[in-house]
Amino acid sequence: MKAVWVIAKKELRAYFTSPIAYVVMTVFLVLVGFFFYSLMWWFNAQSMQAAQNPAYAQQMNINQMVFGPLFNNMSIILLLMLPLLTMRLFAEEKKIGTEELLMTSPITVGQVIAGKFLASFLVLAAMLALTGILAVFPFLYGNPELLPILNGYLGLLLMGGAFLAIGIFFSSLTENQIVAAILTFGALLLFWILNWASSSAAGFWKDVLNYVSFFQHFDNATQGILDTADLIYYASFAFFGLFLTHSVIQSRRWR
Amino acid sequence: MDKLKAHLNSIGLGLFGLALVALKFWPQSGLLAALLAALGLAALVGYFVLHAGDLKQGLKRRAFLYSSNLALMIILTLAILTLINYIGARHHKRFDFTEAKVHSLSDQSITVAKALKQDVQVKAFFREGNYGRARLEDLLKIYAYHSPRVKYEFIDPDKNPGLVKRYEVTQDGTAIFESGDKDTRITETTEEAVTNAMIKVTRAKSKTILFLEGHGEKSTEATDENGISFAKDELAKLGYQVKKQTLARPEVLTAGCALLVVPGPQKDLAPAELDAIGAYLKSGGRVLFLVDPQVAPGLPAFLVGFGFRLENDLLFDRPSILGGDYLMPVMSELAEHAITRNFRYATVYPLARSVDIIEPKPEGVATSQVLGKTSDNAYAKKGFALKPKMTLKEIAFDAKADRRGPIPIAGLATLKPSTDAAGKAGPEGRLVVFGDSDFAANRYFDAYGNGNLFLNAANWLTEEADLISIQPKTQNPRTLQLTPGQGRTIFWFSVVLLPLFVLAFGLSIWFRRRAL
Repeated sequence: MKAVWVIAKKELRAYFTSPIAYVVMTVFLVLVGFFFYSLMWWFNAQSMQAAQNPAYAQQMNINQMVFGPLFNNMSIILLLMLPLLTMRLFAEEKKIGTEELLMTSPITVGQVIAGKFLASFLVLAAMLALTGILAVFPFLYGNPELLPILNGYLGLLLMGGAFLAIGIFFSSLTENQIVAAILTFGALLLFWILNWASSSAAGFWKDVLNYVSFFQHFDNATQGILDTADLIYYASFAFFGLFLTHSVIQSRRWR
Repeated sequence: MDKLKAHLNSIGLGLFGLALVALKFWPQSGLLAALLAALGLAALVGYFVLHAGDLKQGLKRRAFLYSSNLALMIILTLAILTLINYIGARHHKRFDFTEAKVHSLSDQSITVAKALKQDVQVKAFFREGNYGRARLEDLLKIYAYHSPRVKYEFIDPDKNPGLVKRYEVTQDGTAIFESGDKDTRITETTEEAVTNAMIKVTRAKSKTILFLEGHGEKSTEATDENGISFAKDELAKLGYQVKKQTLARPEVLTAGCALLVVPGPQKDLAPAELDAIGAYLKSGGRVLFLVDPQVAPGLPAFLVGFGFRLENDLLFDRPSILGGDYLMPVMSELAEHAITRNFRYATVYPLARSVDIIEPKPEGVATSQVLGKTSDNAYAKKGFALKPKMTLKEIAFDAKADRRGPIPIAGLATLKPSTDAAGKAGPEGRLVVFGDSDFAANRYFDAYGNGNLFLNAANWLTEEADLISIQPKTQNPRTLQLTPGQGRTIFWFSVVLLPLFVLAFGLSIWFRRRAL
């Protein structure tokens, strides 16, 4: 465990001494902030209209109408941003030749992967935590529910974790960071839109496509629902991504 | 030649690929595909024969052993993960963190879902962007969570005209529930509607509705404009068995009759028949009376015993409907009741009479109320005889003799349930009385909300204890009222200050590191 933390610390330092983490975070915050502001503005206008009609006002729910769409938007921005956080992790080692050092050190491959994953996961958590500050405004000016919001953040964190694991896998495949990022982005997008294909499928394949796609699982998270099936799905995804990474790096020893 | 020898494997696989392409695009010429496949096979066999020595060595090599081992590991891991996910998806727990539990079913619905013993297939016809779709999908998803027997699919009517035709869907937002050979349909997306549809469609026997005949009533067989076949067809679509029935044998009423409709008899019912209906009502029966003016005077006298007073009058209404005349009063005031809940349409009653509630209620009547009234433009003329030609003056409102609107056109009553020897209360009798039968006839069934109101009344009448009512969930309004200043604060903080702060922080560290 200590070895994992050593690797994680090293990677965190690398993140925050290069501009990547800051640029990713800043762009992420600008986009999320803008979405948040527009949704609040729209919801405010809707509330104003609803005030004249009690039956309609009852339907107004800031959790469903601001945070639900916001979480959806955030998940798509993460899909675009997270490949940039993971692209460096193994590709750079390979490029500048430090991979050999890692391979011959007493630290196991599993620990190296876990450490790198942990570091990127912590950066993700920090990004999400910063957007959490925005949620103060609705609580100041309105009466949102806290639990569904926390549930939404949990969903983002888990989904982001799965994204990161896939990103790490693609980073281990190549020594070119850009290639790693583009491959990751393509793979994530494919898994995201897989359920579009489900509308033309039927029966068993429809269920499979729906299940494998990120979309359906994240839908629950935006609505304040926690489903154990979703937890298993994200954990499996992350685990398989990291397992593949492990396989790729192991295979280098005898290739 | 050596080159060819080395690439024989790729050539073989390529030929196989071509065979597949040939099969896909020219399926009729199977010979070509077979030829290509045979050539490919020959090339592959040739490759293995020629390279037998190399392959034997290769198989022993470390790299081959490792990589096949690795492939096996990956496949195995994937299989295990698939299994875990399969089990996890089948046996999952769901937590609803919203305060009003908007994504959860009521206890009643959960009981219904868990008690399902046969599969229920829901086909929901919703256009893309129909507002109710998300709500219904949410409900069905939770239903499927509680019972593996519930399956559902959403069908876009625009893209599936064949299915629309087959299921006779006439309204966007119709959900059809099928189970075994039974089906029922709903157009509401409330939990109550879904749960009751589940109950209806899985009930052992479908309910029977009898239409009385033998006294010049409107016939369920007649498809012309005076018949009542449209109403019959719509009831059948809702899952009811509809039959016409004389009362020659009064026992047909008790044996599994969910509702008796008396569709405007033109001649009086025999006393024995009225007795049979009375006994049926008191034992928990349900009857829908459509009573036309000026004919069959025995029926109003009979209804007095159940708390209804039907004067011998005729309703007039200033034509508020384009093309309508004075004899087509409109029901514009609806009373609060399950029948009229969510009902927004006007209904028209050509040649109608008034239906009043007698207070105090007669013995045996538990509740009674007016269902709907005309506007105050309408008026009732007592004992008015229709003639082929009438002047406006003859039918004009006479302040001295005529009754001024609003005038009730329909009413309903529930009866006190009889108790058996053990003191257990039986089902409550229910009756609805309309002062007109034409409104439900084919000519007017599709006019305005007529058909809907008729079906609502029939549904309420056939309701049993197993159908349930679920209050819609009330959630606190969670609105927002921002002042312009607050709006500006949100903008500056979320779009500008917060990102700027992170950027400045990052840049300062980065520059300091570079300076080192």
